[in-house]
Amino acid sequence: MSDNGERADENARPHTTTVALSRPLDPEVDAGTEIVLKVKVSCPHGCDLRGRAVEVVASDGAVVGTSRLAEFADHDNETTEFAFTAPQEVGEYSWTVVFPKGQAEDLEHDEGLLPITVRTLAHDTSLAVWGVPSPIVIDHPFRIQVGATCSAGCDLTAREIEIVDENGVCIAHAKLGATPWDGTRALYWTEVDLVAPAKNGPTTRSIVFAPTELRLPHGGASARFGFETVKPPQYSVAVEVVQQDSGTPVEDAQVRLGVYFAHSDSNGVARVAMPEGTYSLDVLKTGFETPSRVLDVREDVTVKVEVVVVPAEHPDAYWLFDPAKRI
Amino acid sequence: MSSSPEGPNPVSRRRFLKTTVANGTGIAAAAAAGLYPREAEAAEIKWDRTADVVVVGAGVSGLACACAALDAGASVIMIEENFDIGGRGIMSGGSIQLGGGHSLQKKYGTKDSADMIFADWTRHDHPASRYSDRDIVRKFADENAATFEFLLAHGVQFTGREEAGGGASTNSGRTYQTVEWHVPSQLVAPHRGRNGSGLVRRLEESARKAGAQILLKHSMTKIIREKPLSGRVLGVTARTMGKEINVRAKKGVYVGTGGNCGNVNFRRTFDPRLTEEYQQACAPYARQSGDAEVCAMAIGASLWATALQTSESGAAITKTAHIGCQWGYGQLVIETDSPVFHLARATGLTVANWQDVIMVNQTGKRFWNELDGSYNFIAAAMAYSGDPDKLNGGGPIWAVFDSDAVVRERWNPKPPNVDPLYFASGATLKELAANINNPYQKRPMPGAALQETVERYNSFVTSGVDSDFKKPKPMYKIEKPPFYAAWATPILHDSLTGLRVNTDQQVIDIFGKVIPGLYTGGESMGGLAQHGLGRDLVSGRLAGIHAGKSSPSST
Repeated sequence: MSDNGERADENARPHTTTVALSRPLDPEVDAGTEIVLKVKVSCPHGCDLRGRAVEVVASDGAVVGTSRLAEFADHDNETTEFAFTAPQEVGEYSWTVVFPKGQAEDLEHDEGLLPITVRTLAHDTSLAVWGVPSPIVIDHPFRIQVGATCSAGCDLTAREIEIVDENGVCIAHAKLGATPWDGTRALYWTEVDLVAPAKNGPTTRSIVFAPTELRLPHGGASARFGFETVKPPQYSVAVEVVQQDSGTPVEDAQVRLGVYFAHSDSNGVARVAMPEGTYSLDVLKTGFETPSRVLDVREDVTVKVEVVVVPAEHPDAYWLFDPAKRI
Repeated sequence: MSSSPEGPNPVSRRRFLKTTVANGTGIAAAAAAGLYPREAEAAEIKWDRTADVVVVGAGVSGLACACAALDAGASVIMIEENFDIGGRGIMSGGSIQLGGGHSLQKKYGTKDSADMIFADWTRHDHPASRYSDRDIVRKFADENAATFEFLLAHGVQFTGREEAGGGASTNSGRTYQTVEWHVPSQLVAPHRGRNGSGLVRRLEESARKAGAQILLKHSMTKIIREKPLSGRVLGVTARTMGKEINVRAKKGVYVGTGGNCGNVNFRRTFDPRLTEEYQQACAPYARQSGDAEVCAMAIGASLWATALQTSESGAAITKTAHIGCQWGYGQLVIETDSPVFHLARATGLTVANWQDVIMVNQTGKRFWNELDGSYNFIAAAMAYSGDPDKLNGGGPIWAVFDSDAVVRERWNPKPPNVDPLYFASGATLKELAANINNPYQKRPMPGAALQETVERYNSFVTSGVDSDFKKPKPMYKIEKPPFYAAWATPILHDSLTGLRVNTDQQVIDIFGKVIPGLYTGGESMGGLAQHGLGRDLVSGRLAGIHAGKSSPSST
């Protein structure tokens, strides 16, 4: 058969087409969110099919997404990324990516089909809790901040969160505000007023989020936070933090007396109100060190703590051999 | 004055032999021409370039070798896979551990001697010296002072400052720092006091003046030996621009490619835990490819003193200093105007206080006291993390912190300070875990596990007691959003041992015999675990002297 005959024969028969995804589809997506696709169509004859449409067809025949082949390289035609919206209900769904039968440059191409399946999930939610003070005097009020977010960034304004105690009893609830927390996409937050229990010691509380009345299905979330509850203070302890040799006040050192915290001010002084007792006193600040000591508190007391400057590490410490450091 | 290396040869060895054989002179003629019979067997090779000494790797030891060989009158071709010279030396702080009573020590009145160096590096009571090859140490000690004077003779300048450290006894006054190279555009890590640039640039300058050819972007693929496991080393094959060339070494080949930490398969010879997630210092500029070790072992070379690599001393494996970037080693920061910043992609966040973060493994669990940086910390980071598909290696380690820590540390957690592949953020801890998208995090970090870890840690801050890992006085809760996870996986540095050599730096084979014509040094050699520049310089220089002075057929 002549070349012309082959060409005529080739033109007479429609070219088959193959449809594929340029990269794997995420098998699970949040309900009601976008499913992003990039589709590749090829013809065994290497035809340039740019401009031809690709459709995503649901089981009821509805076209839910469409794009056009925009790139042609190495005998493959590709769309750019395009998206269609996943169903709003949780479940498994199937669609067919269709390259419709049609004519291009006097050549007829057969229809190409690719079935795809995706499971839609309830949106995951999660919580953050911050600004929890500790210690807190028994029966005293305090305030915390609580935020909730959704994996798909849904608006959670006015959704309710609950605070529950160790027994699961709700002790407070609040509605999330309308403005996401600074630096986040969609952490909707609120402040919650609470009261410390009447018993001193470590206390744990939980936050429960069970979103309802949202347009899309959402899962719930929980988180825990803790604090120390202490007896009412009796005495004032002032800790003056200074450098050992110079006596220079050290600002912003963390002073710990057992479960009590304070930070030194510009005069190097940290003040803590606390009940009678024996406490471990530690002063912590980067670049300084001092040994831990024990402090008996039986009255108002002022104690001076001398801290020693830790020499800056040699810039090439790792590069020099120092057995004391590495062993 | 050295002789000149030869460019692409107009008359190949094969053609030469054909001519001589046709003239009826045969092997006798070859022998007369300095070719031994076994060499003649290898004469089928087409040599593209020829020199007396071929040096593979233009790092510290290679440059020292080249300069010493040139001093001995040899011609030198250097082969370097990078786009520029220097290897890890150009990223180094330039602290050189050389003593033995050299001129600068005398100037400072520092008491030192070769015997003191020998004593330091053969101590039985320290793991870094316990396993030393004492023959190697003896020669190293004896050649310290001469090597320092060699540097001065080749124009290397020192700050004059004497630094502490330098020996296994932590004796003072055996570490001297070179002056940083004065041309900013010829630095790889600008602004960071990488004074090793002054060492390698001065040696490069000296070598070029003496006639060395430096073939950049040439990667050694093979060492050519007369027979696979016997005979003399004749040269090397190198790949450049997609083609291979053969470079003839009439006197010797020196392979000094900077150790093997960057070669995952090879480094696991010493420690199977060192799987792919562990990065190495000085990458992405220098690869630590293990090419010298691999190519030499392919022709019969032996490893030596392997205990040195796993003695858990020195900087073989280290805690990162900068987090949120792929390579966060020690004092090394690749700034945005570095010629390799496009490869490094981020400068990293330098951690001032490890109290500001917790460290978790790929399953979102703490594993050790974050304030520790010892090998106990490293071992915990490399412990089995529970992934049945990854039994070796500990997987990625992430430093997790909150927005309060960002304020305390004065970090700006955005590119170019962090690399999105090695850094993540989230409004909650669960969202943070879901947002980790790293090539070495093979399984998603379970968000619930991370949340549980942080809740538990926060309770330790409240109580003041870390009942899991005894972190002294945990200072800060991780609670204020947004939350961050920054790559903090241990990073590898020193190759503390390598190929077996004799005291002339000749490579020894698996049968205990010298491989004629093959030399190595620096971090490609075994027997002495001293960090960095001193070992590199002495061994490179010794190899250059021996190879440069040898006759073409001598062993």
